[in-house]
Amino acid sequence: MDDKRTAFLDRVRMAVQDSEETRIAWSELLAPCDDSARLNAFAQRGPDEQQILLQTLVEQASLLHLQTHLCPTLDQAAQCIAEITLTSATEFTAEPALILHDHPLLRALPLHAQAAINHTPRHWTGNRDPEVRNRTLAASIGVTVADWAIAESATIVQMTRPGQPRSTSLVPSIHIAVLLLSHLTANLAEAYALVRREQNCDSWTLISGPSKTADIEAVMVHGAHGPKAMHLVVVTEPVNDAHAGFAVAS
Amino acid sequence: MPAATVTLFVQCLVDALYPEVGEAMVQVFDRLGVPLLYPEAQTCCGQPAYNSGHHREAEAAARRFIDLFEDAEAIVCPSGSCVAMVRRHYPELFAHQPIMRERALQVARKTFEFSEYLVDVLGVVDLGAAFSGIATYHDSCHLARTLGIREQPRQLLRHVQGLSLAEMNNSDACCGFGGTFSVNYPEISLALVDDKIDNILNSGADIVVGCDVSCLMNIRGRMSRRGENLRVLHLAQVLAGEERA
Amino acid sequence: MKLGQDGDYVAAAREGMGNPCLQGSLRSLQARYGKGALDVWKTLPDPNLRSRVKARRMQTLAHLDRVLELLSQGVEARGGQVFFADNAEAANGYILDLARKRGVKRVVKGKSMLSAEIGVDAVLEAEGIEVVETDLGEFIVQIAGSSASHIIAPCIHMDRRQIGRLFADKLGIPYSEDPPTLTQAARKALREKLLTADMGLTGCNIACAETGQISLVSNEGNIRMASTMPKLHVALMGMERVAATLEDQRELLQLLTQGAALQKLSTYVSFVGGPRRKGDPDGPEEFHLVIVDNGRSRILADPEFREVLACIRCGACLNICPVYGRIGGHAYHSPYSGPIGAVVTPLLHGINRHADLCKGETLCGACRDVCPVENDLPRMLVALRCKLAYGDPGWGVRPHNRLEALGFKIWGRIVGHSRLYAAMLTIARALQRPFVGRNGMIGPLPGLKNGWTAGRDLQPMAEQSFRERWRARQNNNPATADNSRETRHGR
Repeated sequence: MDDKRTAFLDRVRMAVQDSEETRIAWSELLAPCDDSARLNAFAQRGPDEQQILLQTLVEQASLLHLQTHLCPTLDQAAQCIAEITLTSATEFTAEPALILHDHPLLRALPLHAQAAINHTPRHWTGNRDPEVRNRTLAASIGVTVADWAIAESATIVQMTRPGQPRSTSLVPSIHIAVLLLSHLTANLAEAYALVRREQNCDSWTLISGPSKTADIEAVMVHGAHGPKAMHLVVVTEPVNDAHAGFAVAS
Repeated sequence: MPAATVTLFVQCLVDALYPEVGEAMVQVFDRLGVPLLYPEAQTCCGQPAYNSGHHREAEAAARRFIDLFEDAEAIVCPSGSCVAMVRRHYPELFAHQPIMRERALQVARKTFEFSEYLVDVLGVVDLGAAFSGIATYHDSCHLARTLGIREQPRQLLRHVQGLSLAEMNNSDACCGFGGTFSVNYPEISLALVDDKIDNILNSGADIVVGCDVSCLMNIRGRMSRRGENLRVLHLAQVLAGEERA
Repeated sequence: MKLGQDGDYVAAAREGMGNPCLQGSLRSLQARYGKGALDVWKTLPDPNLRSRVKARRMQTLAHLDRVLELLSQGVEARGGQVFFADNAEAANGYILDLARKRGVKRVVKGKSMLSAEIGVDAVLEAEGIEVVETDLGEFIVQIAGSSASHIIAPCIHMDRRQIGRLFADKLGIPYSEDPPTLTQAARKALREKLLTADMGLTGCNIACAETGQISLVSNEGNIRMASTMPKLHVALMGMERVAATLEDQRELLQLLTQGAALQKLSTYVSFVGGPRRKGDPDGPEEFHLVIVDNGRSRILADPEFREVLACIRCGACLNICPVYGRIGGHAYHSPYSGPIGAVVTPLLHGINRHADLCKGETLCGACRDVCPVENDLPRMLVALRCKLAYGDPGWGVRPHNRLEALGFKIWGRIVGHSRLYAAMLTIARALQRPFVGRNGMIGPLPGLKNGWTAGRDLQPMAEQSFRERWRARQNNNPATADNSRETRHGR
C-alpha cells in the first residue's frame, strides 16, 4: 500500500519538476487566511445592519422556496414549529412525528406548552441513542439548529456533532432549522472564517433551501431526495447564552 | 501632421475572391489622404495551416510575412482573423526562437484591423460615407474575442448616412466557418451557418455587414443556396459607397 | 452506447442534430446559462477573481504531490482510508475488493463522471452487485440504457413523454408526463434504495488538503444521502480535483455553482473526511477516498496541457459552445463532452482515437471567454491538431491524415512563392469557369470540395485579383508607381 502511494506521488512530483524554480513556496501556498477583518465585521455588527441582513436573507430565501418565519421569542418559535407541524402533510409516514437535534436551544423551546402537538411523537437525537435511526425514518419533520446562516445566499451552516447527526436535516420529508439572529452572517467568506475558527469540525453541510431538480425538461421541481420543504425559524430577540449552544456570537 | 503610410495586408481570400473589398479599403484610405504601400509578393498569413495544426507550414508563412512587412510603419488588414493570427499566434509560433520572436512582436505591434485603425489610430468615425439600407453587423469570432474589437465597426456604421443599424440575436455566435472545419465537418458547419442566417433574417435587415471575408463567404454561400436575397458586405464596401458593393 | 469506445463523431453528431427534443433543450439551456455565466463574470465585485483563482490552481498543481500527501494525511487523521489508484483497473480492483470483503449487495451512486470514465459500474454489476444511479438525470439514463449527454443535465436529450413511458415501463407507475409527478415517483423509488444500500459511491467536486476533507455539491440531496446512510462511503477523486486551502475551496466552489447553473450556491454542499464518530446514528462506518491518476499525471507533465487540469467541471463551456449546442453530448463518446471533453478525452484516452474531437470545432473561443478558471481550450485544441498533423512520439500519436498533410505541404510551397501563387490563381480561374452558375456562384461539386458545396454555393475566383487590379491602377497612374514595392528577396 505504502509503495503504491510512494510510486504515485513520485510520478506526480516528476511531472511537475519543471516548475520547481518558478512556483511559490509551499509555505506560501498553505499560508493561513487572515480572518480578522471578517470576524470583526461579524462581531461588531450592530442591530441596524443585522436587520438589513435579515431582509436580504428573507428575500433570497423566497427565491429558493425556503420559508422564513421571524419569531421574536422562544415562545413564538415554539408556536411556529407547532403550526408547521399541524399544517404539513406527511409523505413517507402515516402520522406526523418530530425528530429534533439534542441542542440546548431546542431544549429551551417550550414545545411542551404547545397543546396542539401534544400527541405528536417527538424524539431527541441523543448521543449514542440506538433508536435515533429508526425514529428519524419514522419522522415527518426534522428540527435542527443552524450554527450560522448566510444572508447573501439564504444558506444555513450545519455542523455535525455528537447528538446532532446529519440525517435529521436530510431524511424526514420536512426540515425546520432554527436560527438565532445574532448568528446571521453576511456572506460565504464570513461564514468560512467562523468555520475555520471552529476548528475541529468533523463533517458539515451548507444547506440553501429544500431539495430540487430540473433534470426533466428543465422544469424546476422541489423535493428530489432531500427534504421537500424547508423552514427557517429565526429567533430575532437575544437569548440566554446557555441556550445559544456551542457557537456563541462573539 | 502627415498620416503614417499604411502598408496593405489584404488577405489571400480578398486578393483572390473579393478584390472589391481591397479596393474599397483603398478608396477609404485615399479619401482620408493616407499614403499606401502594397507589397505585391504577399500571399497568406498562414492561418489555415496554423488552425489545422500544420505549424511548420504556418511558421514558414509567418517568416515570409515578417520579412515582407517588418519595415512597414503600419500594417492594416480587412480581416480580424488574420490580424489575430499575426498579433496572437506569430509570437507563439516563435516562442522558442528569441530573435524571430522579437521580430514577430515588432510586427504584431503595428498590425491593425481596418476598423480598429480608422477609429483607434486615426481617430475617425465619420468618413462622410453614404449607403442606404438597414444593416445588421456580424461579430466575427477572432475579431470580437481575440482582439476585443466590437464597438469600432458599429461606430463607423452608425455614421453612415442613410444606414440604420439593427442588431441581430447572438451577433457574436460563430458562423460555423472555422477554416477546414467547414469542409471536414460540413453538416455541423451548416447547422451553425443556418442559425446565423436565421438570426440575420429575423433582425429585419437587408444587409449583413462583417469585418472578415471568411465569415462573409460562408454566410453568402449558404444564403445563395437557400435563395435568400440579402446583401452580404464587408465594412469597407459600406464605407466606400454603393459602387464598391 | 458504451462509453470510451470508438464512435463515429459525425454519425452521432448527425443523430444529435436530428433530435428535436435535444435541439430545443440545448437552445434554451444555452440561451440562459451560457450567456448568464458571461454576465456573472462581467459583474463580479472583484474583476480579477478568475485570473487569481487560475493562478492558485496552477500553483496547487505545481505542488500536487505534496498537496495530495497533505490531503491523505488529513483524511487518515479523521479515520478515513486513502487509496492511490494508478489507473482504472487499480481503482476498480480496490472498490470491488472492498465490496466483496464487506458483502456489499447494493451500491447507490452520486453523480460521478470519473466513475463513468473508469467503468466501475460494469465491474460491480459483473459481480452481481446492484448499482443504482440516484441523481435523477443519471437514474433516467441508466434505466433507459443510455448515457449522459451533459455534465450537469444528463437527460437533456429526452423529453417528458419518453421519460413518462420509461417510468411506466420500468417503475410500474401509471403513465404521466408531468415532471413533478415523475420526479416524485423517482424520489419514492430511490429513497428505498438510498436507505438500504450497503455502499455509497460518489465523486468529489473539490477536495481540501488543508482540512483533510472532500466537498460534494448537489441540488437533489442524493449525494448527501449516499454519503450518510450506507455503512460504506467510497469517494472517487481525479487527482487534480483538490484545493490547497479552505479559502481556495470557497472561491472554486462559488465559481463552480455560478458556472454550472448561475447559482450563488447549490442547495447542498457537504464536507466530509472520515467515518462517523463512535455512537453517531448515521454517517458511514468507513470512508474511503480513491485518488485516481488514469492518465492525469501525463497531462500534468506536459506544460502545453497542464492547465486543463485546473478545470472544475462546471459545464459552462458546454452551455456556450455552438458546436456542442447542435450536436449534443453523445457525439463525444465520453463522459466528458463539450469543449472540455474535446480536450481531455483525447489526452486521457488517445489522440488518434479521438481525432474528430480535436478537429471538430471552429475555435470560436466562446469557451475560453466563459471558463471560470480561464482555461484556453482553443489553444489546446490547436496543440492537439499539431500532434495529429505531424505525429508525436511522446504522446504516441501517428500523423492522422496524410492527404491533408500533403495538401498543406503543397499549400506551403504555393504561398511561399508569389509567382507560383499567382500562376495557381490563374489556373484555378480557368478551371472554375465551367462551374460558375448564372447567379455568379459555383454550385454543388462532386469530390473533395463537396464538403463545402453540398450545402453552400462557392464564391468563384475574381476575374482580376486585387494584386492585378492594384498593378493596373499603378500603371494608369505612374505618379504613384513608387508605391509598388518588391520584397527584399524578390519573391
